[in-house]
Amino acid sequence: MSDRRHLDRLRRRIRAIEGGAREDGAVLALPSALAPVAGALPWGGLPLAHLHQVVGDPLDPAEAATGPAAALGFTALLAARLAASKGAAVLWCVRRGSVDDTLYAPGLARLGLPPDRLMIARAADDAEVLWAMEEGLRCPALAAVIGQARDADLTAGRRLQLAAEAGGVTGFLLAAGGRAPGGKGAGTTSVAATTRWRVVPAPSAPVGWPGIGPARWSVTLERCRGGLPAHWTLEWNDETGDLGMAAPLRDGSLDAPERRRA
Amino acid sequence: MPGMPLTDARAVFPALVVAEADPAADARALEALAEWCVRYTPWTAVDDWPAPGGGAGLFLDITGCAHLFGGEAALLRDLRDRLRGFGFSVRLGLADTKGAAWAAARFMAAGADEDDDIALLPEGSQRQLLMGLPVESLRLPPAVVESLKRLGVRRVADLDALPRAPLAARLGREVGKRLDQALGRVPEPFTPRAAVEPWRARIHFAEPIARTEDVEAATLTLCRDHHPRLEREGLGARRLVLELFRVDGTVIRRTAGTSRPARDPAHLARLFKEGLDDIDAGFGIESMALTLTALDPLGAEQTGFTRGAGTAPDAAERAAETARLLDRLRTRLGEANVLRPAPRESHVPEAAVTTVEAAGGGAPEAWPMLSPRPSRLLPRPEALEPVEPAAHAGAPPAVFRWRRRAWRLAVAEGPERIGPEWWRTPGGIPAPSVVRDYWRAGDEAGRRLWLFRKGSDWFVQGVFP
Repeated sequence: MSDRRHLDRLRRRIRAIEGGAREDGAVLALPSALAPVAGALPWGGLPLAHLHQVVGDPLDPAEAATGPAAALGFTALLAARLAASKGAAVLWCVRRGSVDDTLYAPGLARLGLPPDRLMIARAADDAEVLWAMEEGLRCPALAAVIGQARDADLTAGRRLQLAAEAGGVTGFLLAAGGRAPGGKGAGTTSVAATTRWRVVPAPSAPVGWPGIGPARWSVTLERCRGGLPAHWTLEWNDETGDLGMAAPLRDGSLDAPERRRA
Repeated sequence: MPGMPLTDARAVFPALVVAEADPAADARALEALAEWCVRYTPWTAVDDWPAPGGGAGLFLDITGCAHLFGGEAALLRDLRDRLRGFGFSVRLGLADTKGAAWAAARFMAAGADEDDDIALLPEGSQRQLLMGLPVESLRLPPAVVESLKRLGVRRVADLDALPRAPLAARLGREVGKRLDQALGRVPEPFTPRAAVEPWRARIHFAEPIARTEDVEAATLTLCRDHHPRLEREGLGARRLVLELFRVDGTVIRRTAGTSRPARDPAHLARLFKEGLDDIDAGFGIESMALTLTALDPLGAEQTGFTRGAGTAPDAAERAAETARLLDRLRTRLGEANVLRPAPRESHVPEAAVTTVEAAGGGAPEAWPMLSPRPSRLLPRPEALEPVEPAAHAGAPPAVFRWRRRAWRLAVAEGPERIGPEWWRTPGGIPAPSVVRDYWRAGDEAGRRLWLFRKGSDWFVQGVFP
């Protein structure tokens, strides 16, 4: 017993050293429907004042056409939950004229971001997106900052992380649509964020009528400081706005290994 | 005719147009006119002596200014023509003293025909010209004028001939003083309008500066210079212009705006931070000026009372903090690129969103909850290329090409019919060909698009998460 306590303490110390994160930092509690997700996170929820990376599948040609859609929905839901719990607004930074610069506010309102909780900054290039994100993260009056930049690297990630810690604002680096000038797919680079999620669309469950049913997303926690990777299929009900675990399909196809690309 | 009862005037001219007197508005207009007259001389003042028979007056001290307009006569003509252009009837007098000019304008400029409304008293000639004028021309109270007339003193010459001591004993010192002032024997002070102090702070450097850090520090100093006056007058800056004067005579200008009035020097200085990175100082900057070109009232605010790190900021503090963030973003990204969406009453998807200035007044209300809407909306619907027709008539094509990719639909839900807003279009009820039938469609992988059919063509308009 005492060995175990000792081990726990050591683990916490290592985590503190690794992450520079506050030991008892604030955490966004996830709804009970997402208990398995919360369980996989060592904080028991999404840690606030950290940088999180959410990517889609940059090699998917469909995503090149539409921009990351499922990843956007997942990020917006998390940010909306943050905004609601803090009673503050979310700043969304995009590159002017890119596929990301087509945010449609009535649709975002369905994801929980009403107009009074949303501000959009349109930057000229990736560097300016990162600058705007940093400014936003240093502003304690915001709940979260979402940014879509293509060429964020380790340095940029570190800067954003420091800004998030300084301002106490949670940052989301969301994959950007289109290819970076260097030819690398957007969102493939590591930015050393606290968590890294890959969210891609999943086939929705057939409904009993000729309809489209709730959206399903395949969510992979690829990287998590102090935690292990994990994968779930989540279902977003756009009528109620609830995100929950998807019920497995009858043929068990949900548990089939995901198509992965190295 | 001044003093005539309204009923008499109506009897003479039944179609008379009557307007109530509005002395406050008159005073404002006169004040504005005095300010306008600064184009001739910086020394202008409103005449506060109650004018006989209505009419208001302005004093202009044009000492040393007339040559700029081609002489005194030319200046007077110019002034008269411009004032007439505004719709005023004008009489002008110019003399060596304030009193003489007043008398000249009121009693010598008759205003009957061309150039008759200007009385220019040549230098040194005012004495003999004034002597012939009635005593009213000396700006004396009506009671005094009345007494003088009873004594048989009608002209200025009569008054000037009387011995001073008995006159002062009987009618007060006022009479002698006014006479002396008109004739230039004693000076009459001229109190010009208080000039509006410009909102401009300057800083000069003993040695030209070139480093960005120095320029930033100087900007902060300039912002600090403005702060006490802003606080005293309860104002905050909305637009600022920073000028950097280079040694070689060129001027670099940077402007900044705030989304709500601000006067915190550190915040105002930060607005220029982004703009100062790329300045070319050349051989150095020898002086800088910060002008506030737009100001708005700003109540007193408590500053420097730092709260503990753990306490949550309250709503007002948060709003102020957000406004400061938006100012910084806007300065760098441009006014039009920092937005807050707001609903607009329209059911046409593209028209349902308008943008308001972020952090503008009240929070916009929420959208009416319609059927599901995509989180991305293409700025322009894009036509798709059907490859394989739909299983049911009216449904979107089962396979189509869009953005160089084949899309194979697995599910589709619709239609949601959205017509144009006929009450906004002049043509009345629209033809069926412009009505759009919207479908939410998903492919096998779960990607979801928002499609619509117009006539027989299909378009992609949005992307669902």
